[in-house]
Amino acid sequence: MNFSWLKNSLITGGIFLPVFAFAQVEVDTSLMQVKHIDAVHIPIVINPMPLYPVSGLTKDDIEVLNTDDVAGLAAKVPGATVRSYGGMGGLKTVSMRGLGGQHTAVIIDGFQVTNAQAGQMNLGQLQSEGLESADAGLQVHFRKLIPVSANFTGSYLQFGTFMGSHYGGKLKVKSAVRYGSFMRKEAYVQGERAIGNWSVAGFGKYRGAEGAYPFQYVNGSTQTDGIRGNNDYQDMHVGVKLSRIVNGDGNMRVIYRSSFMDQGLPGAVIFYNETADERMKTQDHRLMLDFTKNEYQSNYRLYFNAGANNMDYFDPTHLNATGYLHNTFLNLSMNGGYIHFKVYENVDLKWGGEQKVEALTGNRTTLGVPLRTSSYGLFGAKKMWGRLQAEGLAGVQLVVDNNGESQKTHVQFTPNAKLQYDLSENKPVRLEFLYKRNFRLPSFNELYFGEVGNSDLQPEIAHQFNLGYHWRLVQNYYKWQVDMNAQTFYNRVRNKIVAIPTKNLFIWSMQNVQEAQIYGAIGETRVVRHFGEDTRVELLANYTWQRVIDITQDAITYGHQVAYAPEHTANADIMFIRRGFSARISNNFVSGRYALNQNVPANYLDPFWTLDAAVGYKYTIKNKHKIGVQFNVRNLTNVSYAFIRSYVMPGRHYLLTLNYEIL
Amino acid sequence: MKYFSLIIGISILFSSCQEDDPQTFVPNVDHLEKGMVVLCEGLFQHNNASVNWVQLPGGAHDLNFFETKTGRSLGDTGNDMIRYGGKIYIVVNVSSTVEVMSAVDFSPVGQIEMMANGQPKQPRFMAASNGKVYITCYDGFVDVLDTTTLTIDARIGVGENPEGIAVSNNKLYVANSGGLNFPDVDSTVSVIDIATNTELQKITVGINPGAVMANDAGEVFVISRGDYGGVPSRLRKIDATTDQVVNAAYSFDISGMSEMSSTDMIVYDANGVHQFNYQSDAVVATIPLNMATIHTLYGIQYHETEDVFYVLDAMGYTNQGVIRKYDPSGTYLSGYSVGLNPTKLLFFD
Repeated sequence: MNFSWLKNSLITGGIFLPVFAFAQVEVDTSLMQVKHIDAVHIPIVINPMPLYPVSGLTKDDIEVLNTDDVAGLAAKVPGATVRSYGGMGGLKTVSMRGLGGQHTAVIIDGFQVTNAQAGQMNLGQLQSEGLESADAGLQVHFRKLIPVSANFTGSYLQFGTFMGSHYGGKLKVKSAVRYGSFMRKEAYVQGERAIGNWSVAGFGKYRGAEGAYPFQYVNGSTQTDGIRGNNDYQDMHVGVKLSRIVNGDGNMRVIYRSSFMDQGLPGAVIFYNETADERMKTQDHRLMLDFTKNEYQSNYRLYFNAGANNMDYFDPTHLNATGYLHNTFLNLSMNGGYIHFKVYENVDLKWGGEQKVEALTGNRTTLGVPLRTSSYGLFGAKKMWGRLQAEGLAGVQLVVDNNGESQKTHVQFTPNAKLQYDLSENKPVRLEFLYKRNFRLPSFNELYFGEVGNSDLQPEIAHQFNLGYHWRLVQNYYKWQVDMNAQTFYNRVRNKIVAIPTKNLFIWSMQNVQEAQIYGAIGETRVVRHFGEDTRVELLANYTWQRVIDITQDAITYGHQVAYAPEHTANADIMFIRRGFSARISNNFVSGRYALNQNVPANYLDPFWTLDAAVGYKYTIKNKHKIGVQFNVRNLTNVSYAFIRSYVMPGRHYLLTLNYEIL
Repeated sequence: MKYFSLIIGISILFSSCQEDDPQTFVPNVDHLEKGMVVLCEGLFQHNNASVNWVQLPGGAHDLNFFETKTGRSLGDTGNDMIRYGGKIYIVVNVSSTVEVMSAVDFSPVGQIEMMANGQPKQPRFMAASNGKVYITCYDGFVDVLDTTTLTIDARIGVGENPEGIAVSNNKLYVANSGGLNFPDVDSTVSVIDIATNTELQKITVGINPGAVMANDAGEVFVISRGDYGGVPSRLRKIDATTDQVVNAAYSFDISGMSEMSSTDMIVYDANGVHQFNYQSDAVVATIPLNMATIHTLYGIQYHETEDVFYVLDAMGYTNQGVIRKYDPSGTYLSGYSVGLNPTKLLFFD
């Protein structure tokens, strides 16, 4: 009798035990990492598996989820805490395992997307259309040639679009139109084709919505209805890609993307005052070039990435002398680098360097003209002894911040180490341990924005420890496949950058004052049952428990759970696919949390559980054309909820999608 | 089996680590006596301004006193509260309302929406005289509220972003802060004739004027808050007869002031609390509070009946506040937990 399941369960229990011990002695954790395992596609061979046995979202998942933006996908990641201010295009950030959103690198098609002004990307402005993969974790696979700077963050969110890889076939076109609640309408088209060694691809998208959604909120002991006004939204995205295969094993890519957004800012729901009239326009332009060479046992990549982000904020009723407030900002960034992976005898090596320049200009005279130059160096090695694998990465970053006469220099090191042991020679059963030191630099806003800015800020430092265990519980047993993943983590953050009132309640300033420790555990599974060639049922579920604790010496909130960090989060999705038909039920649970660091009833935010549903059907005509229809219902049970206090989310709403593809 | 037992055992242990909710005693208050009403500002965009009732000297409290009486929340950012006649008036800045409550049992009398042309007026502070309550509004006006009909009778144009207001010699004195033009702030006080509801003149007092207070002798004191950097926060005095600044040379730092008696007032900043004598026109004594016992000094009020000082401690502005009681010798007597950012007390003996 095979008791491997028992052994695995016990080992998993062993992983979780230290976490509970930490809970007892008030030690803390760190951020966790997330990925979903695509049980269908994971090969038996251990080596190509994701570094951390988490899951990724497949193209099927992404299509059926049909989210408004990539934040909707990131929310599926265990350990991710979404902060959404609501609405299409509304500010959405994701923090992983209790670390701030600035500790997470966002990578699209192998290029990191950054914003030095805010320090983190607004995931609400990154579209999910055209995505073919999404995964997340603490550290990408050793062989992956992501930009050098992306190795310096605490975690990553990685998205792959149809333009990410070289396409060698004939013309393919995919289009969609959507109609939805709140007068939402959109159109999307993408196409790609090969011409000899060349491949060209492009897409265009328009989306608009009046956005005024009804909501409910509790005022005292009274349930009240409201309409979230000034929430209109329009955006347009275009992109082109040209790629070429060079000498059979080289690939050159040039990608250009532009986004234009025009939106009302509904602001917080303020009791008795429903006025809102601020607006924001954003333009984002990015040019990306790279050349990748995949030789036998040696891969390298040269890359270059330039971006310009223009933000225009307008408040037509500001109570100042001019009667309005109009701020404009232009964020510029440029980086280029080289990264190389090579297999030597018994050891794999990886090295690279990168140079980055970021600048900000604006019409706020107090902001100055911040300029940041960063130089990165990276060296790593990986060695295997049988089923044991050790890996180390050492990075150094030199940062010079200039603004007028002010100049600050930082040097930071990011040593990472990972041990991985495969418990079986022929089954995917793996034990992993990771240590990682990372940091995040203060953003330009945190350094220089009016009275809030503090040019003396130091980088925020995080130490991360992660212990993970991944195994395939069932494989091809009556067409069942079950993958399991358990992780426990501990993070310690010092020099945490937070805004606190200094001179008085109205004058807040950024300070390096807080320390936090984070500990927790993750459990996740993906279960697949096949019924013949073209029918399957999938269950994807994860649960995260995390304590994100303020351990700032002498703080009134010492030992309290940090604001907006839920102790429990969970996802559970069930998907049924049969030929062209698909159906999915998605559940998301976020436990109660606090709007401020002090854990008192007045700051408590209720837990919420949301349920989404989707059904779709695609029909193929003569293997050349495919037409499809999909219907999504979001917040099926019409619950009233908010990620952030006073920023209510919409109730039940609908989205109808019609697709047409030329195969 | 040992693993199983260990898991169960530690799970139970973990469960035992959960914190209990704090216990709060909520008295059924049907008459305002032997206690104080506390206005707590809350935080911007949190909708958590509150009114607390604290019984004295025991400290039994209702931290949701406004909700208890009305069934709804006070709103966002409670800035000022006064008692005038038989009513209590509460200004809620971001919600842009004035709440009117009974001064007998705190039952609701009315809610006044402070909107003009569909935009919030953003009321800030109040003063009362001759059956009217005068409300500074951040949109550059002083609103005149009739206390009988609870309607706005008139709007009086003043400078930009008015803050503090006081009545003296049948005139209103209004601090024009210009705070939303920072760093190019205003530096004037508007003088308004109560009889005609018109602005008579603007007096230059120093940059960024905020709080305004008048004493029984008719002298008007204004705090010019400076630029929070090189220009310090200083006290100014206006003669309400001549409407001239009569002394612009007080050299002590000041962040706030409050009434103490007909002859003295309290002036304070984060470093200390002092007694200012009107006749000698100077600080005459330091009230020996141990400032180390105060986390974030956000206000101080003298309670004549008890002959004690109540310090409003904002506890870092993002934590529940504490009202701390000291006797005149500076001895700490007791502390009362209240809501976020306590800003005003009304005593009921």
